[in-house]
Amino acid sequence: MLEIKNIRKEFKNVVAVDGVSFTDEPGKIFGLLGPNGAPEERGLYKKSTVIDIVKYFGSLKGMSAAAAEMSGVALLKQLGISDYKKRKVQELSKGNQQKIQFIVSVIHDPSILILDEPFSGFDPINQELVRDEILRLKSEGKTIILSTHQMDMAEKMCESIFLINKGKEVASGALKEVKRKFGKEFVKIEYEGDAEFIKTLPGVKQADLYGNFGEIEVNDGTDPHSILPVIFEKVTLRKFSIEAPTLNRIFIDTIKETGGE
Amino acid sequence: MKKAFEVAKWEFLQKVMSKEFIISVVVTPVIFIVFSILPSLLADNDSDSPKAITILDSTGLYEADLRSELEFHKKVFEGYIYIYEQPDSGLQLEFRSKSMGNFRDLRIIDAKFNSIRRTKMLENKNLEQSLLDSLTKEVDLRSVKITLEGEEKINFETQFFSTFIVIMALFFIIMFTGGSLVRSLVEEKSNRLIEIILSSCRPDDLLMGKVLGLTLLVFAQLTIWAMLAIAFGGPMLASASIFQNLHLVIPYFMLAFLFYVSIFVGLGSIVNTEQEAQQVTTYLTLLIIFPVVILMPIIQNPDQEMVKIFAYIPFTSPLVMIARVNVVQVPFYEHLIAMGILILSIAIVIKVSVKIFRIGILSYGKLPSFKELMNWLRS
Repeated sequence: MLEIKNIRKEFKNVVAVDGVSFTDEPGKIFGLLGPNGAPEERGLYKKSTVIDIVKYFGSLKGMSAAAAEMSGVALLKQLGISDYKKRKVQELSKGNQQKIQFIVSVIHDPSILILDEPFSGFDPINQELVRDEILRLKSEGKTIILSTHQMDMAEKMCESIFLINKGKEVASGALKEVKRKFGKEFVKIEYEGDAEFIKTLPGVKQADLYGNFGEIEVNDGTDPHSILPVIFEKVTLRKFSIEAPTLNRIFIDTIKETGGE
Repeated sequence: MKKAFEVAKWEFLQKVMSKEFIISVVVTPVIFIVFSILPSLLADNDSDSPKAITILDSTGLYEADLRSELEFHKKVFEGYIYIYEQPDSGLQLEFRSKSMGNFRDLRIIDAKFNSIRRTKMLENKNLEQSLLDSLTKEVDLRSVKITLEGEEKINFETQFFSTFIVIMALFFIIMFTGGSLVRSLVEEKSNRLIEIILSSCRPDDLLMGKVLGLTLLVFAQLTIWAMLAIAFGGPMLASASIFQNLHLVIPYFMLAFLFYVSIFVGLGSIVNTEQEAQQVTTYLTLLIIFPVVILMPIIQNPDQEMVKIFAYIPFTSPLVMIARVNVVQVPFYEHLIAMGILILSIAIVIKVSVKIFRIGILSYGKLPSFKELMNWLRS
């Protein structure tokens, strides 16, 4: 179990974290969500072979060469890159290099994992591989903190979340609780045509329009169904549904409310 | 400490198998051989088939003798010798040529001519043959180096070149290792690998491991060179005094290596890009190359006050001392002082470097200001 109590981190002119507390239990994934931080490009020793690097980091974590190799080979296999074992890092694609970084981070079987954007840079197939690996670690009882701004992934994987903006807590707790507390039902539409008029319809609080897809929030007290006929009349409507709140929606709303980035 | 060894093992194995290392091991000796042979090839254009020696002798007294003496030397002169009498200043000797003429050739012509002239003049005085012989006998000047073990004859050129080559080799080793150390730090920093490494080991372990690994690498390099040198030039090299002074050369070299590598590791931790690394290493290179520049005066005047001062300044001390021990018997107490200062300086540099390294290695963005560096040192 990991318990964070009232931490504060201050740099010269920025308060990065202010009075943050949360707990994370073994076998659970805890989502730490917030706006973009600093972009970071990571790499490895370009001219060394994959297995050499894996063994080196294993040894730095106190493993024997044999243990590091065994664990490394198993992880390479799970992530589908066994063939690259003897290759030099510079011959690998970006995505595969990132998998090696994942491997060197978990090679010593740590009980707490803090994963920062583990899916970025991966194609959908590799995202699945990494996701399965994280879920496997979860099932082994690891305590996992997942830091990401891919809300769909967080929504699908986390038991509880902590939403942070400008160093302060915005929302936190079990995912279901947060959704119930902060989320509002909204209308999802798929359409063809010009839907700009929706933004000014009476009873509509706000509308996010993507061109052929839209999310509409109505004022408290307005029946979502009441806007259907007007929209139906003006655009070719393919779909109209009333949805439960998504984490994505909650993220956008709460971050905007607390002053954006 | 165990982790420092793991880092050292990694640094050593990754570098020893790299192309750069293999090239530096092979190419450096080739460059030195070319450097040491080429100048003497250019200076000495000895030839087995001499061209005709042109002598224009308006006095008619010296031509035949001078010709036979010079032919004996089998030298090629690209010009002619002009001997003539001038009413005011007497006998004149000129070597007329399109080029300035080889300095050693001119000395030979000068010496031979004057010896012939003297002999001729003395012969005219009807002196006894034995007196004549002893008057015209040339006495060569030899230089003899006095050491505790006794005296030994030295050849300035061999001495200079062997010292020069060894000092240049040491200079290149320090530059090569220092440069590769800074580059590896910049690589680890720019791709943020350093964060993964430092989540597994302490900065001190990382720093120690890197220095240790590079030291091993240098030992490997020197061992290979030593074996090559013994295989190709064993007996010839053994006579060079630099090899008879190895018991002093090696400790001074190791101290120089530790001193500079410790500086490199501290500075390497604050730079972020190849360009910054280049800047920083260039200044260091100037400091290290300085003794090479003043090598000639050091060998000529090894006991001069200025040279002794440089022998105590840690930046120049090791290379200056290596140069001095080849040409003079440096008193034991001077070694004690020089090594004492060096060891003390190394201890200070390591302490400072570790402090800078701990913070610098995780700081990104611009180079830290002097004020910031001072703050790091105090922390």
